[in-house]
Amino acid sequence: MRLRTKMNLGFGFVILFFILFDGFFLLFLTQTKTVVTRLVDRQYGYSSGVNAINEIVMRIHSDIWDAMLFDTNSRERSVEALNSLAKSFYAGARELRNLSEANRANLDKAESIFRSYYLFGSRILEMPDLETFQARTDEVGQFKKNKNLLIEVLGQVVESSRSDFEKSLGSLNKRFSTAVALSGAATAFLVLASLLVSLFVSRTLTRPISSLEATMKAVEAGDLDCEAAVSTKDEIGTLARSFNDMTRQLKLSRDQMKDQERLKKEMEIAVRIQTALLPENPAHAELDIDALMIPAEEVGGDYYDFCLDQAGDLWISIGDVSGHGLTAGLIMMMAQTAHYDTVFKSRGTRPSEVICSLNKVLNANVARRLKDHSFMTFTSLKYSGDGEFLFAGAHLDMLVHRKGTGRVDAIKTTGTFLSLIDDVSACTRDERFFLGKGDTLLLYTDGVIEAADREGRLLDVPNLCDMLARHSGESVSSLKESIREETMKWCGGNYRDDMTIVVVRRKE
Amino acid sequence: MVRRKLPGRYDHRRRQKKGIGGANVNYAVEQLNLEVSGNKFIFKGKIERSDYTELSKFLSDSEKSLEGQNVEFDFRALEYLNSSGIRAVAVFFLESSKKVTMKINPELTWQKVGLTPLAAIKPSGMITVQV
Repeated sequence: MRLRTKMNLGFGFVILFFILFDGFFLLFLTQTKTVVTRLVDRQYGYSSGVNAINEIVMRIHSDIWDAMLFDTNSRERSVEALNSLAKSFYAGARELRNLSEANRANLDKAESIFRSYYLFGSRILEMPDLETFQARTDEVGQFKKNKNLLIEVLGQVVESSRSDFEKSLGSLNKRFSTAVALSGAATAFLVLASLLVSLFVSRTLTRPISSLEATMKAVEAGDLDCEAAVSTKDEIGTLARSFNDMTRQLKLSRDQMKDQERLKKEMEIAVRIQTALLPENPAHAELDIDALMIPAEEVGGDYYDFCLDQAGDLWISIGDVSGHGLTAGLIMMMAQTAHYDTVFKSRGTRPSEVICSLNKVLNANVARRLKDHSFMTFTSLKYSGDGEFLFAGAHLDMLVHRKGTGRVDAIKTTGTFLSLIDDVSACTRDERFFLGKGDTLLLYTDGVIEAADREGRLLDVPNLCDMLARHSGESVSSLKESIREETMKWCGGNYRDDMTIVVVRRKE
Repeated sequence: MVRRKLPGRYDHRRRQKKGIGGANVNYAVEQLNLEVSGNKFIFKGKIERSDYTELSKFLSDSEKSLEGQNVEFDFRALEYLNSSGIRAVAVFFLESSKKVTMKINPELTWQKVGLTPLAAIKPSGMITVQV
């Protein structure tokens, strides 16, 4: 449920209850007002009704006394007035009876007394003179007595009416007290409900936010394994899930960066080792030698080496491991170690023997133990003196610039690649060639001839031969640099493979 | 001749359905298209980055269906084969009992220096190079 829906439901419930409570309270007040009005009207009606009847009784008495004592001529008018007042009395009594059933008995009694009062009043008015009036004291006394009784009964009516009114007021008072109590309870309930809703909303909001905040602090402190434990389906839940996703991505990226950093460091170490293994240019009585290797961004498998055997003969070797990367670099180092060790301990050994021995080592380690499919081109050359080179092993054609003719000869290497088969002795044989004085031998790896220009054209062997011929008059160092510069120019500085150039010139 | 380039996998279903005898089976990866027609493997295009395993498996599977004692590898239209590809071809040569003829393009240096030495991995006469 979304957070906004939860809050709307909570506060909506409180507001709905408040409206209901308010409605009931207003209804109560309206009804109470009606009851009070009715009560007051009835009481007022009673008071005025009883007063009117009372006045009628008193007026009848005064009219009769006036007629008998002071104005005997007015007796006829008094009789008419008596009848008229009697009608008014009954009408007033009827109205009072209609106002309340409670005083019906008293009113009946009052009517009964009034009939006697009226009767004695009529008899008094029929008396002929004052003396008769004064003589018939019993009838006059009865008249007076009835008047007093009437006043007493009407007093009882008033008293009863007041008592009834007070009872009603008491009932009303109770009703108000109940209403006040209910109102208090409802207010307390509203306050409690509001508190509960506020508590619910605040817990709904603050608990997951607190959890999220704690997770964020943990992540900020570097703990990317920490996850926000929020399982709600509202906006905060969505936020927490997004945050967890982000943390996972961050962790993944950090791990990848670590891996990349580690790989980069390993590569840097491998490149350092690879370049550190490169030999210094040897000083030789008959030969000028210079060489360079330009490692590609990725560790490659290019290899060249110079070393002397026990007889003092110079060995030159060049090769390239298939593929790139750390494995190729390691295989190259393995080949360098095995070759150097074999040559360094040997005396009178032929290149073919070195190649066969090297193949055994590589095949055993690379193909069998590492289960790797890499192989290696490798040519080993032994300088026997007086311009004679013995060589064995398959690599790229060796280029020789003949100073006398200006021609460039391509000397093919024979045999096969190393680490393909267990024994290469059947296809490995020693070959030889001679360098005349001033002739230049160029060894290289495929990174040079496979350097591609923008259109994808490879430098290839003919162009390299042309370079060698054009720069053959230069020193070996200068020649090496010229070839490097022209190759870089050809590929625009974009090369994917290691480049190795070895230049050997027989001194004149 | 209808060829269909497959995204790095050869079509076992087509191959099994039609069989090797006289039918064409293709293996395509990167820009390489290897067509098997009878006892001929014809390589075209180039392969620079792909792994050794799939090409080796394709060659190995195809070898079981070859008839006769000779098989021909025609590389003349192949622009470039990376070291993994060369390794896959070398493994096929070593494992197969058939006589292999490699046809290479002398104009392409990499073919001369990268494929010719493979002729030496088996006894003389088992692998020959035709330029």
